[in-house]
Amino acid sequence: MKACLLIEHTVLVFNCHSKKKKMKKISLIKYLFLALVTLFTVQCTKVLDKTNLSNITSDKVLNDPLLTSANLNRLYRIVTPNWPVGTSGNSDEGAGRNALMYGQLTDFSQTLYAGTYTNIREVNVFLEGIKAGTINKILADPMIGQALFLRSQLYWQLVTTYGGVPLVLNTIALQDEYNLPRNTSTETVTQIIKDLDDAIALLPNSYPVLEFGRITKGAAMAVKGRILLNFASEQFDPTQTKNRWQAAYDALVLAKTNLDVNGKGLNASFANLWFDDGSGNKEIIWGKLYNTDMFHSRDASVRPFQPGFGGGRTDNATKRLVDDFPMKDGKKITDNTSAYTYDPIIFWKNRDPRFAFTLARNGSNYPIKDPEPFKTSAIYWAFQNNSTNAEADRSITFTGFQCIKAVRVDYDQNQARQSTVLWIEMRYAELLLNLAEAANELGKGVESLTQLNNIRQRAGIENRNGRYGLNAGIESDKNAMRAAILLERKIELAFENKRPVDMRRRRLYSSMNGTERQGYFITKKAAFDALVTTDATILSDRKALENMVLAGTVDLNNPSIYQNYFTTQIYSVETGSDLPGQIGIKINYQDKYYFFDIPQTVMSRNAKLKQTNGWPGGSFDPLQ
Amino acid sequence: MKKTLLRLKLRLLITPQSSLSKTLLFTKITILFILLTTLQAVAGDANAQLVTIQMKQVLMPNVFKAIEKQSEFRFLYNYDLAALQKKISVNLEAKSVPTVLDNIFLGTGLTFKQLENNLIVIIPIESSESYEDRKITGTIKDDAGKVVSGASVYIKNKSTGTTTNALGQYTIIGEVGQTIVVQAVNYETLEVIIGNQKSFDFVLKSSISNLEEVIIVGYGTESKRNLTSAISSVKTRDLQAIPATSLSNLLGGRAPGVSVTTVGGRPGTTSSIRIRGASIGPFAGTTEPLYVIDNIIATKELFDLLDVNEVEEISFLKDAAATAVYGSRGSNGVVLTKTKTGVKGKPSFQFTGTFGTSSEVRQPIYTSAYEHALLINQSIKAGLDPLIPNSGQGTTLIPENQLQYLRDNPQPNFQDAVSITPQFKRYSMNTSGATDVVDYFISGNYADEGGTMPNLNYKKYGLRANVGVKLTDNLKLTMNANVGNDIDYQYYWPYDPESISDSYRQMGRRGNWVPSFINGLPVANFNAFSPADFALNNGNGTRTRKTNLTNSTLSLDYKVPFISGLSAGLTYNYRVLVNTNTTWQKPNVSYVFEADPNNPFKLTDKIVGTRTRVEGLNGNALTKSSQTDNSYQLNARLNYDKSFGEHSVKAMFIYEQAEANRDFFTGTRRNLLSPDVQQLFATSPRIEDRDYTGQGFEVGRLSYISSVSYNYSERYFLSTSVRQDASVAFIPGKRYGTFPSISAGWIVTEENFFKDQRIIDFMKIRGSYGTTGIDNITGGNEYPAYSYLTGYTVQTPANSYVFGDANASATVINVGGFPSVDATWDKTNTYNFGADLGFLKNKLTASFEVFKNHRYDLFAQRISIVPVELGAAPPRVNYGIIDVKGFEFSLNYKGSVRDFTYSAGFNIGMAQDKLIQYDENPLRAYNKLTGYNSDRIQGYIADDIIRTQSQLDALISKGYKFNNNLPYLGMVLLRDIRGNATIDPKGNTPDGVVTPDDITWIGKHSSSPINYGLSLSFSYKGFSLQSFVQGLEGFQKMIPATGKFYFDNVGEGGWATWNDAFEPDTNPNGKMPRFVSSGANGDPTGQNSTFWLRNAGFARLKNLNLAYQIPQKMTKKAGIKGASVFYNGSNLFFIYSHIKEFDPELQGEGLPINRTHSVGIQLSF
Repeated sequence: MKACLLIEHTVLVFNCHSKKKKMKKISLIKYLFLALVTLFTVQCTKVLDKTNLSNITSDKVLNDPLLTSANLNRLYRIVTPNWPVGTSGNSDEGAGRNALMYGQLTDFSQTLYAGTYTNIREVNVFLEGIKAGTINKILADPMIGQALFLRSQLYWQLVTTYGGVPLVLNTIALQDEYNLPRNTSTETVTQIIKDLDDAIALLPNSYPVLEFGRITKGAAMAVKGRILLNFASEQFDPTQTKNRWQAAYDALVLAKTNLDVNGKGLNASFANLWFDDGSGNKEIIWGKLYNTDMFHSRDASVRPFQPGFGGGRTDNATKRLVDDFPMKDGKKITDNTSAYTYDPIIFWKNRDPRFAFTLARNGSNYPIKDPEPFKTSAIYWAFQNNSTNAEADRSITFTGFQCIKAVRVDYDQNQARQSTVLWIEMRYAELLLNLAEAANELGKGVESLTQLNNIRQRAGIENRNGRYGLNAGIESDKNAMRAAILLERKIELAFENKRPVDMRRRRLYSSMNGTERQGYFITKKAAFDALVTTDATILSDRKALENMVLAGTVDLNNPSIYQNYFTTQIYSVETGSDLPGQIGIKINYQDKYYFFDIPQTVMSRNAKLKQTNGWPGGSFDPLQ
Repeated sequence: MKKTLLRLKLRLLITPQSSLSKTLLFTKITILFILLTTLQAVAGDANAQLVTIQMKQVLMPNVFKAIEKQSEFRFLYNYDLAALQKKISVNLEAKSVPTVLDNIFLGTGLTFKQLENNLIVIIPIESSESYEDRKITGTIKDDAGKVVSGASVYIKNKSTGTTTNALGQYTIIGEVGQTIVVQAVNYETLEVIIGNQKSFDFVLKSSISNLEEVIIVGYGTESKRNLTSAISSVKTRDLQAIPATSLSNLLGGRAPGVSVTTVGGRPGTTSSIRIRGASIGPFAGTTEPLYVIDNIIATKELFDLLDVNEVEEISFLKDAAATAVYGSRGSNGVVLTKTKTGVKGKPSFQFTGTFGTSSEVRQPIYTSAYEHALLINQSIKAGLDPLIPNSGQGTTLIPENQLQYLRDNPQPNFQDAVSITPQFKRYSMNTSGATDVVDYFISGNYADEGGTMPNLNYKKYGLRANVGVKLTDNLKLTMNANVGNDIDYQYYWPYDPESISDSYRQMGRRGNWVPSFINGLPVANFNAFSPADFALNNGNGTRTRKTNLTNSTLSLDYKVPFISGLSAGLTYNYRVLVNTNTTWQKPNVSYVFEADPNNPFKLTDKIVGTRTRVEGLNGNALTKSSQTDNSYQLNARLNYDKSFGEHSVKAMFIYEQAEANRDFFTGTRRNLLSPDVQQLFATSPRIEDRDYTGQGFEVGRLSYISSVSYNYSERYFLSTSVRQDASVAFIPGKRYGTFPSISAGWIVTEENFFKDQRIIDFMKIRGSYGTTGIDNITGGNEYPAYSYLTGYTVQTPANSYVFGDANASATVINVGGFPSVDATWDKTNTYNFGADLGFLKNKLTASFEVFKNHRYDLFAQRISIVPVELGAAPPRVNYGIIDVKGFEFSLNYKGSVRDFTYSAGFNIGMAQDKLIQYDENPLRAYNKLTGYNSDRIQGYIADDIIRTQSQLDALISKGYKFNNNLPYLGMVLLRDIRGNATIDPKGNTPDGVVTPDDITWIGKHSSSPINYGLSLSFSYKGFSLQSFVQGLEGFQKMIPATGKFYFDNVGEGGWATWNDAFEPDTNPNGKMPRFVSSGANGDPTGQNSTFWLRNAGFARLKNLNLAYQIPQKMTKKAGIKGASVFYNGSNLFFIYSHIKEFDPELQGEGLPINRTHSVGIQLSF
């Protein structure tokens, strides 16, 4: 603007001059000049009149339902859990050589604190924005409900990791006093439940099919039940004196009622559960869909190792998990009353049908799309040095198993890195198991049995004793029923990050301490090497065996035939043990891990924070 | 009378300058167009002006004065002319000036000539009559044999003078006994007394002193002698023959205080330029200097697009007195570039052609497969991973038959398998010339450079026309127009698409176990894919980047006739820059070949497996992006330059406004129908296979610049400048920033008390102080980040969320952090003190500078004060402080013995930063960054290798552990210097074990604080030799991962230095640690430690140029005016280098810098 004044001023100067002098060409130049001045003046008023073309400003967002909704989608993005990959190693279901299990965690290992508060701020900005804006209540309410639900999940992540945390329910302005103390765990959970209750009041029972995946009233109710179940468990109440089970039970019953009315239930097929990702899959309560834009690479991680693609050593089932799968009639493998005999050599025979849909083992059918020469037929091999490549030999499974749950066998390696297999964070089966557990703690064992039967029926277990192999009288033995429920959870929800949560929730790690997780060490025998004598490579022998198995001339389900080709040894899969006979590091999960310490970087910036009990300088009791 | 004499003196002062310098002066003498019309009218035709002279008995010069008062004419005459002493009377009314003069000269023996600029020269009649008889001609060349155009030739003490044309020829009228004087900028002045000869050829010696050189400064030019600020200037005439495709690559070590770093040997690579160690430490912002081309603010990209042949000169402005006129963006120094303009004379035409080749200077040597197999066997025997019990078991040794096979059948690694000898060519031609009315420089250039690997190519084209037209004596119109275009083509490397260095590194350590290709097909037996195939066959696609520049500048310069010394100017520049990128990615296919059953390394040509690799979502896709920048800059100037006796005053006022906008668009379509049709339309039409996005940016800036400088008797100098800027990067109300500077100089040798001594011929001391700023406080592109606004960003589909049965991606927008409402300029106070000295009749000159740059208001978060529960980083504020201190020194000598001339130059610059204010809260005080320079190197202190069992036993008994692991024989022994932070907060109590607590500062600098250059040139008759050495000192580098990690898998390789790995029995004195396993988690050997730290100082012969000018006799018949042939070598060898394994200018892993040899020819017509 200053420039414009200058120009105007000089115009006057110019006029004075022009009157004084006699001039040639004056008129032409005068007009040229005036044109330039005009141009100049017009230009300079706009020079600093610029907008941010690479951003959308907040005033536009809060008054526009579409933009607000797009902001809500962001909250889904940052809150909804992804496919868990490799978390089985933090429990007894999978192999995992990590510091957590060995009690070797360094201080301040759990770093989700700061990121979670960043996400909480995004939710708070959203909630304040939608309340300040002009969006119609009919549109706004369900959105507020979803945001409250998502905020509750953020606080749940914090409280289950650290114990109670400061509650920030509004955006903090910079001039505020923002050194907040920790709320107790009870206060935190109370606020979580309040958010969920508020959400339940605002959320619809269902959405149009194109909005499938959003949080419904029933989903919020089911998640509320899950949280109350957790809160009633030993993690928050080790001595079980507070009797919080009733609240959990009530919430779960209400949730089930709502979900049943709205068409939810168990998917008919356990095997196809993960591949049916639309509103037609009635088992999805809270799920995350993927597509070619937004995909995950979990498939690539859990598939057999391929040079250049990785995989192989993620989510390898321990022998413990393998043994926990019942026989086909629902009886334990150690139970003599089973109609089927357990054979430790061909241990896969006549097991719970979920076994084959969860695990691939040496010689099993796993028609995954991997190229030659690593894969030449539909058969999966887990014996040592089965590959043509030294790199692969050192990277095959720890335990003799690959997880095949929810793995798309029709994917090739490249597609496996861009998997669109759905993740179900909360499925109807879990709701039933949660209900069973809460009911049992309240002495309603019959109700628990009903739910277990539902699960085991869908699993395809033979119902020979009217209770799918479960012992008679279990419904009146609270402890036996509790064990059966936890075992059922372990089988049904294997590799879905539920077992590590259960072990933490019910403080089960002490039972593992001092032990080593085990796997199968499978080696080929001379008869295998002799399969093709003209060619010394493993590959040719392997192909020959595959041909015979597929042609039916060799039956690997026959223990003596299997043993003709392979030796099976059991060995420790912990750090330090790579071969049978070696001793690995013992599990040593520490008591203080049930509530972790708050990171130093967080503590140092807020003087009012107290460290969690059990950790250096800890004075905060997470059990309050 | 005095005035007339002064005028004569001035005339002589101006004449000696080449017309080029005149043009420079002229550019500087600019106008405000407002005054244009008024003055234009007057300037119309001086001859038409009528004067009235009524005087009695006066000396003739008084009459001239009277005429000067009434008209635009100025007179030039030799006061000694007798006729002028005669008193005359005049009584003429309303007559034209020529009429008046005809009247008064009647019978005096005098006549007059009207020259340009309304100058009237008074001469005796006889001289004009016998003009032809006394014509003297000749040619002027310099000591290198080059013709000197624009040299001034005149008769001593007379007003007669001329300048040489483009061929160096002159014609002048002189009498026997008179003295011809030849003067040219940067040459010594010559005199000869006229005898009977009618032809005089002169050979000018290069001016001994660089002091009189005129260099470009912000918005003008200045003689070095009169500078009060710190400016280094590089004339491009010495750089023309160097075959570098980008301008920045030519400048390393040429100017003190300017650090130029080469980033690699890829074709078209540019170098980074940093002035005086510009540093932002841990803060946001930029260290990139401001680039200005022909007074228009440009970018590094545009700077590199220039061809050296179209550039006249590059100046580096280093202190605030020099850069304050670029206030809001001048904090990191300014790189000023001036393109060429026409020089007076007949049209000259010049052609330069260069052809050459290049090779890698120094690359790490890798183990052969055989050597590596031996190492792997060693590691297996030792137990693969000494830190994990029994880890070697179950792994079999590579058997003897295979070892022998590998020894007898060496295979190239992938690097060698694809290595080629590239070619490059460069052509440029230009024509230039000037008449009284028009000057022009028109050029075209083309460069084409290949890489040392296939499928790397860089091409550059440029056309330029710089044309000036003198519309009237006082008004000049200049048009500079150029188009530039470059194309950078490479094979696609998905893991680091921005660079192929990573690909080169990967190729180095793989691939020598089996052939890289069998029957032309890539072999994947020991690798998941073949990087060689990527390079040789575009195995994963290609990437092409193109730049198209259209740039024009129109300038009007006006010398205001009625106010002596005042000029005005107006410049308008419009620029369109289009950057396009095409990336074609395709699935990579490689093959597993059948191996001998007893020897996996002996392959047959039978394919047993195929590996198809599709890299990421766009692994089979075509992506095109286009970014268009439209910008203009408008600048109006008013200059005043006048001397009053001993007092000289220069003043300048400039208004500048600039706006720019960017439009970015990118689109991808997946699944090409055929790899041979690489067009967007020829892809899968499905909606999910399409992906596109775009964005806009805009910026505006307003600036007011003023400066005043004064000197007394060219002895005392004082300059000040103030610039005020408005930038849209800041919130309205905080947009304006003011940047003042002041500087002063004193030429001591001008003082009488100094005149008697003979040692120092010239001495100037000078000092400056000033403030500059940067509006790019966030360090983004040239468009401001609106850090004062809360903005929502739209996430990419990959970061979206999916709802519904259609699995459609929902739009996701997310809120940004806290806005920084108080954001403002980051600023630098610069203190500079300098001295310039001349000795030995100024044959030896020296310059010295010391400086301190106090940079403050650097932009960052104040981290330590805000709790995490806030949920967002606190807004960034301007609070950080960094000081940079340093010095520069340069020494130049020029001399000659008869036809042999020589010159030597040395320059050195040192700069080191220090973090003064920064919020940090380190766990331990000794981790603090504040108080130190920002490029220190962290690591462990290493005490050689554990070589004996007793050494090992002693350590174990003392409880030595590294990260909970026991030591082992042959490992690098890291020193325990501290305990755990909670136990040992001061960090001075060793606790017996080595953990990350023991990491300390082991290196002072990771980048060189000291840069130096040394140049030597000789010429003898037609031969000339120039050599240039560049050196970097004072910094350290770590041996890179490929040199220090164990690659213990079959199919891999490491540096050949591993062949001297420690083995307790066979090689107890090995220089390298024991070769164990990469699986060793937390192994001490691979850690950054002093074991791997090397002094990276080096000096290399950066350039050698040998040229021969073919005698004119030989070329004349062919119609060629001048011809020379030359050889040029770049990066020929190291003078010294402490690091032997790799090129210390790089990191040791990427594509090495190239050594080039080229020959060329230069023709002029």
